[in-house]
Amino acid sequence: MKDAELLHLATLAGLTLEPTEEPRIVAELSRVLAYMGELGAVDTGALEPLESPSEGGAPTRDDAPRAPDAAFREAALRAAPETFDGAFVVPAFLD
Amino acid sequence: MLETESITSLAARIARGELRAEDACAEAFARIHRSDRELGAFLALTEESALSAARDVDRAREAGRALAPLAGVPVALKDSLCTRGVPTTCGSRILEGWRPPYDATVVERLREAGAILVGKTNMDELGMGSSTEHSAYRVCRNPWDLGRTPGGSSGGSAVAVAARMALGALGSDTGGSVRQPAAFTGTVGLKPTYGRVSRYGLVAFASSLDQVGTFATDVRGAGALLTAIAGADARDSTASARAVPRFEGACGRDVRGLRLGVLDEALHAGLEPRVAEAFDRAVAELERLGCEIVRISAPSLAHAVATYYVLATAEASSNLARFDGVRFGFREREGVRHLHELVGKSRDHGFGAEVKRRILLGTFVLSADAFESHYRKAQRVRRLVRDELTRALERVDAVLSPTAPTPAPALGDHAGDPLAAYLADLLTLPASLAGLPALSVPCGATPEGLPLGLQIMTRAFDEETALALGHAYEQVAPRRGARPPAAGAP
Repeated sequence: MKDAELLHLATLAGLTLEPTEEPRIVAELSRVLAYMGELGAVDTGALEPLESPSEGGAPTRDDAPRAPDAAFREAALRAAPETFDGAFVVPAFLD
Repeated sequence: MLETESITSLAARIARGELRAEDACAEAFARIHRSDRELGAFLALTEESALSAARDVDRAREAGRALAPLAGVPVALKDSLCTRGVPTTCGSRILEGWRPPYDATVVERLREAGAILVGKTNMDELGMGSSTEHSAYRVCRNPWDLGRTPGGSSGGSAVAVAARMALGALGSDTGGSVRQPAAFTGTVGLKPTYGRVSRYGLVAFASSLDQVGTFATDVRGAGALLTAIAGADARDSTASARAVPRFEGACGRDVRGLRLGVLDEALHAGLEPRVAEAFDRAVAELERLGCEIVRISAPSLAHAVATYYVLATAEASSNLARFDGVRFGFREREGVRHLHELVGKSRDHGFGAEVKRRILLGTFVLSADAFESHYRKAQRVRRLVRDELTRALERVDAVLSPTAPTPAPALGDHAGDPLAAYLADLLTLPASLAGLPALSVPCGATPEGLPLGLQIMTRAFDEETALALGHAYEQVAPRRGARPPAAGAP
């Protein structure tokens, strides 16, 4: 893995890495990815991907709205780092 | 009391009025206060609410009311299980101080069963690790040798039970994180079939692999905890609607005539000689108990580690996207002027090295250039593993292997070499990939006294055969009843 690849991955992953971390991470990921790459040689024939061992697929629920839980909403907002008037506060995201 | 009782014996004696729940609870906390500064099993304690609940149990019994099945039994919870109003950190700084506004389904069910919840246990950060060394908070030590890890990621839960600070505990098992620490600490650990237990309120690591599992001092107790928590849940669409048997009732069933497969691939998995000898003795004991031993092979298991780490890291990278410093958890404020800096720096400073490594690996395998060659390929190999094990379990009733290729490693052994740590998961990963139930029971120890585990894997939704075999073996296992040196009575 090259440094530029790592920076691209970090951007996709929403991680702002410290420059001092980068060489170690590149070395570690390279080693693990080389090991993972051995899967390419496994003969899987016409097998379909297995997404989940769950039996019977994903059951659906009634297509009906659930009543809002005001107490839960209040508790969730109380746990937030910063709120204003029931909304989560964040810094600017438009330049 | 907690030195000699098990989950089921304590519950029975409390129900008969021979012992008091408040006394059991007080003893649990005396043990915690005495031993846990050194052992590091707990991240948060719920002493006041536990004592209050225990007194309620005693009052109910004195008033002649029928008690719930686990009434008065002290139980610990892995810190990835949401517990209303109680700090739930998943061993990570990213959730430091977070108090969930709800209980996980399994926590609700344990409360309904009357269990006394004593605290939240230490773990590898967000479930990622096999030693509990990746906890952001404190070291967790193996009570059999304080210089060794208890395994992970549910190390704190395993230690809580091994040191009798609780008689049972819940953990989560994605790639072995209940079974392996059980083996390393001389306790019983059970990973149910995928879908047997609701994952609602379990902070997600890899959603197609995660399962809540149980720790106990004996097989019957592990089964009793599963009975309490298993079953359908409208809030988890992967939770099976199958009926929940009384799992502990399988203990004592006749195991004569059961066919047990010994995996060729396990025998060649780089086992330490001490592990191989203990496993051979365990197999011989099961044969003496009347089981038939059959050699079987599942060649795809050689690819289990690579397959697991592609899929688990991919799912983790998706699941952990929610930790962004916006709605809950740690928010970096220094040097943050823009939203993308808030997200990027909160995640970089809130997550530890192992978590970041896995997020980056997962992001890679899901990226456009690698999606087919890595992610989809790994899913095909997963089907290959599942199919081979399912075919093997048509010929045999259970598959046996050691739970881990070595005894508990020393603290720091795998530092700087994540791949070495991943490779040590070889024996537990197949059951995770295939979604099959698997039980680890103590099977003796090394000459130095380090516990070893026997893994029993069975067909989907056949936890009962695993429990029956585990219980039968437990009665004749070497060193039955041995106690760790760093967990003396208060």
